[in-house]
Amino acid sequence: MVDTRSPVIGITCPARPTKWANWDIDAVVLPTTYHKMVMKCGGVPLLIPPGCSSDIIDRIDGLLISGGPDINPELYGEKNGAYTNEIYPEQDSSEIELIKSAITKDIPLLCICRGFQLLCVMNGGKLHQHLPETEGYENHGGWNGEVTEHGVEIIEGSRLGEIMGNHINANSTHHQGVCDAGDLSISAYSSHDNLIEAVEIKHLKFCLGVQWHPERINHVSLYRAFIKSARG
Amino acid sequence: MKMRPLIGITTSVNSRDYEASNQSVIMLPETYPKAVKAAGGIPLLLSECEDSDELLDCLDGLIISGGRDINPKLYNQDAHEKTIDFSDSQDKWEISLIEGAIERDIPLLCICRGHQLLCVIRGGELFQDLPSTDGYEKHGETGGKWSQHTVKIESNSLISELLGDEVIGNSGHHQGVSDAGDLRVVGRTSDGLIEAVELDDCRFLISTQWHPEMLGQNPIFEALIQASIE
Repeated sequence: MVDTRSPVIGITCPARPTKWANWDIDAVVLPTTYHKMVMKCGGVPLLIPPGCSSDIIDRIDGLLISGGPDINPELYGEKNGAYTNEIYPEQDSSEIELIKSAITKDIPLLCICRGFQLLCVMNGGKLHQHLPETEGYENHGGWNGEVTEHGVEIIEGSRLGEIMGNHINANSTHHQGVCDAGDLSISAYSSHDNLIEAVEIKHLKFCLGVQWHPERINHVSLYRAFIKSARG
Repeated sequence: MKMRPLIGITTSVNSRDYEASNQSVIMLPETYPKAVKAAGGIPLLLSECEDSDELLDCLDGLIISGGRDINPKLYNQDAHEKTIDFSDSQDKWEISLIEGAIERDIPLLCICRGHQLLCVIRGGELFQDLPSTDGYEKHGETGGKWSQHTVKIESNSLISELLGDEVIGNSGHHQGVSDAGDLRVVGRTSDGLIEAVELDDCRFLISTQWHPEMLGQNPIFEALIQASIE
């Protein structure tokens, strides 16, 4: 029997102190852009709250690790830099468990922004803790809420290249970046300063990490490819 | 070993300063997923979509959470001046989830806004603003403040089996149920407000005006999860 069910995509989301009417509480928060893009590209989005058991992997068809705050630098053997002042070690560890589980079970995985950085760190990589003060990357792009765009050159023969071609425009709204992708395959660099912009694990069904936010720049092809691989 | 049940929890979309100013974000107080997790379920958050059947296909149990007012047109009233910020798309989506869950007999817990919506769906009506409604002026706090009150529970109900004949409920709502339609009223405060309803002949349905997830009323969540495994 052919399974015509739409693939279920789990999206991670953090909890933060949030103002709600007149009260100030811890709330789970996620920009609607991720959810809308998954729906638009044929998936059924379910949000995975923090601290969720990695058992969830057995009940979803694809996993999306969303963007968010900085990663604890201890995870790549460094101390906090001057601009690394908002870290959530519990969020780090629960997302690491989910990613490990998805890789072990070969569940399609798309890691965005913070998710991309975490994927690199887990695989032996390292981060630049503050691009605006890192030689060669001072003009990488917007951060602290500001968004800019820049070109990205995609490596021929990569999975990302099959999906998106060899050159794209991407958005930038991050102050940290990947300086070492560990044992992952690098699939793209930014055009203007050669920062690592995307990685993949080639032998898996679908495992891609991107520094930019494809859901905010309508990169439908990337989400479609992810959801298609979650279907089959 | 039996798999832990997936419990879907509805969320609200609001405009907030998050990562950038004035973003459209999906939000839910963390107390809900924490209560589900503590009771042995796997909490997953749901957000507005066109096809709620696809969501119900994935779930073992469902919680309709608290949130904004309901459009009074749904119970044939014009909007009171204090009834603001309602969302037709959220109403429509949560109505289809509740109706789908009842039809498929998926265990269901409705809280606050969820409680009010359930009552409206089943033919009931709401008081649009308790502080200006005769007899309910002193019901409780609203607008972000919270108070507590006693709720008397009918002895032949599911809630009384779980929490006894008298429970402490909290109040942070300015609307309330005036008519519960075809549901069975099982709990009222001393001013007579309908605080809890149930629906017989289904696997599990509890609906409360108060917030059990904020009050450590774990037996309610444990019972939801037990029913969702069966």
